[in-house]
Amino acid sequence: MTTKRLGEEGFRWFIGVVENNSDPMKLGRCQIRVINEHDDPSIQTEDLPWAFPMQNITSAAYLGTGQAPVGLLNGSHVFGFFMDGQEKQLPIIMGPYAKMTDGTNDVPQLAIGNNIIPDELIGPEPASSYAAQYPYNSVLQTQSGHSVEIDDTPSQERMRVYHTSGTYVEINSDGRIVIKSVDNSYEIVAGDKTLYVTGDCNIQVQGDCNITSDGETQITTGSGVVLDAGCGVNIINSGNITTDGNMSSGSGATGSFTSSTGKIITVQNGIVTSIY
Amino acid sequence: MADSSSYVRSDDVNIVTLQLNSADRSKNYDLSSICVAFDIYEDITFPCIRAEFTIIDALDLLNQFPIIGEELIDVEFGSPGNDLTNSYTFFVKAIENQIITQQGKVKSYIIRATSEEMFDSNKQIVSKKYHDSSDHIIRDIMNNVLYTEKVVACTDPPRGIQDVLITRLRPLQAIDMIRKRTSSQNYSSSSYCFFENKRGFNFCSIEYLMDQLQNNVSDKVFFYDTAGATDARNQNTRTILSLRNISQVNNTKKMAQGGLNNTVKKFDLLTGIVTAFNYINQEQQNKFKFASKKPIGLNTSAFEHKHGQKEAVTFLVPHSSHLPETFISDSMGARQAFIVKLQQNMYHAYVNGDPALTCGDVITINVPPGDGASTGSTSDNRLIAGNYLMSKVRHSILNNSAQQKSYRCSLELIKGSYEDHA
Repeated sequence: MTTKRLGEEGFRWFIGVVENNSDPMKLGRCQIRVINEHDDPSIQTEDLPWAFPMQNITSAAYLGTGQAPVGLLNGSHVFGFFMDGQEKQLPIIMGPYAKMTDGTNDVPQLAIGNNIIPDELIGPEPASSYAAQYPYNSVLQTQSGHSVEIDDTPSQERMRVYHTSGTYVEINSDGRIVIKSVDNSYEIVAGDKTLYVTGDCNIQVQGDCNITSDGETQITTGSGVVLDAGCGVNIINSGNITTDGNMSSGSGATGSFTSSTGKIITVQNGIVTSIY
Repeated sequence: MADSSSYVRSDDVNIVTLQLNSADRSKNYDLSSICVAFDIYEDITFPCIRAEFTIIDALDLLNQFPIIGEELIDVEFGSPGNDLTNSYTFFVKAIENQIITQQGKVKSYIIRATSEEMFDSNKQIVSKKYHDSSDHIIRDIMNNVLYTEKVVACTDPPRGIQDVLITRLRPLQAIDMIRKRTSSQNYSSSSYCFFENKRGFNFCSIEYLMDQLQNNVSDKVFFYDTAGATDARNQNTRTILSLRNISQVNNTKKMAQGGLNNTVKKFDLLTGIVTAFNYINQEQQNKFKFASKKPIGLNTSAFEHKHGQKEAVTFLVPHSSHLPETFISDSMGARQAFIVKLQQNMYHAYVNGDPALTCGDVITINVPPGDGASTGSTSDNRLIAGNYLMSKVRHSILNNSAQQKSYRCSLELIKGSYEDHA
């Protein structure tokens, strides 16, 4: 090696263009064509030395911990340096820089005030509160269209995690949160769950709605329960139906239904009138 | 009494050719009458042979030929009575130190010239991927980039494979880079050099030159002749005209530069592992080959035991194990110590000209002890006498007039050890 004292023999930095980001060792290395070094057309991409990427200090880059160094795209312009100085065989990538590529800003559009995520509102879904101004919106934008925004635009502080399918979570400046899934949604809670709503709670289901409990299901209300069934109510009950208060009339249910023991129960305005 | 002019002096020169040629060789001019002196430089630390021609020009050749730096100079010279001649073709690279007399009739200047390969190396850069051994890469550059027709002798097999992408380096710079990265299969110092001498280009370690060419000393045995000191006619071809010590001992430098103990740490970029290679002279110096058949160390074992226990210098070498192993980290410590040794025992000798002298060869010098014996001592200087490698050779030809022609050689001699003649 020409370099005898690593780090003491000058700093030879470069600007280069990523030509291959598919590191066979999966370490985030890229093959960089260094401008004015690797310009000779006889130098093929596979001839280029693999450049290790420097990582952010917030990434451990150790024992599988930290941020994966996989952000660079083929075509990204990077600054770097040669660890071995004059020999120029061991390039290190310090980082990319955004530029105007073919007249287009390389910075994510969401960061510069262009909301490229279309509003496709369903039901009561409110429109996005996006009102980002440059340079307040910190955006992570991926190739396929996923994005994470942490927006500090004054008076419009907002966060959004968006999946390219249209599924997203958005928190607006008031703290309102919108969670939208464009396909099935599952919420699995292995322990207890408490939902506490200080205002009204509206659940709107366009298809069937099923609530299954292995234990007791209790509905507690301070101002009554209204069961508004357009096509009748079918109670399947293997035990007694009891009430602590009076059965009221007028607004109660009217009809017949069959218990699990085979008895036919007739109800008139909410009052059981006969059991056969 | 014989006419002194009929003597063939030991420093006589026979200039066969000294001709200036235009670039396409369509014009030429015999410089013998206006070139009052020329020097040819060979150096194992420099890739090509260089020359300087001192011209006294009363013909305005500079403007009439004209000499504009595109010319070639053919030179062939030897010693009278010796069939061997040295023949070169130099490319003019610069014209300097031009002085015009007050009358404006005569001007003097120096033409600096170099071998063709040096000239060609400056007009291009190399951009090429190599995955090969060092000797093959160097041959490729010499033969397919510089298109040399001279011999390229790679006689010291290297270890390992060089996986390098050479970019924006001149061919000789690329060779120098490869030279520094090369480790030897057979010589622990891996002190590779690339140089041109009268036989062509050479790529090998200095240790190889010392070890292999000590068997080719032949008649190149130089000595002091007290008779020669009083009358030049008594000088023999091998008389040492002067011998000056450049450096005998500098122990602080030797220690500070890791001559006794050094450590090379190899940092593997891929694995993050640092591997240390410690060179301890007391334990490893016996692996070195020197120009002497029976070399002895520059220091006593007691001195080395006392002062060579701790590393005096450390190196940190970058590497990545996804690349083939070059082994240079393993041998860098030994190389460092070996080079330090070479700087310890250096001489400058001035001898009568001989076209057989060329850098990279080994000669013997018999040096008297200088012990004050009135009759002159027949013994050798105990430590200094013996074999030396000629690291630089300067062929100096004086061509002032028929009576003032002479051919002498200045030699830089290195040894790296002592040699016990007790």
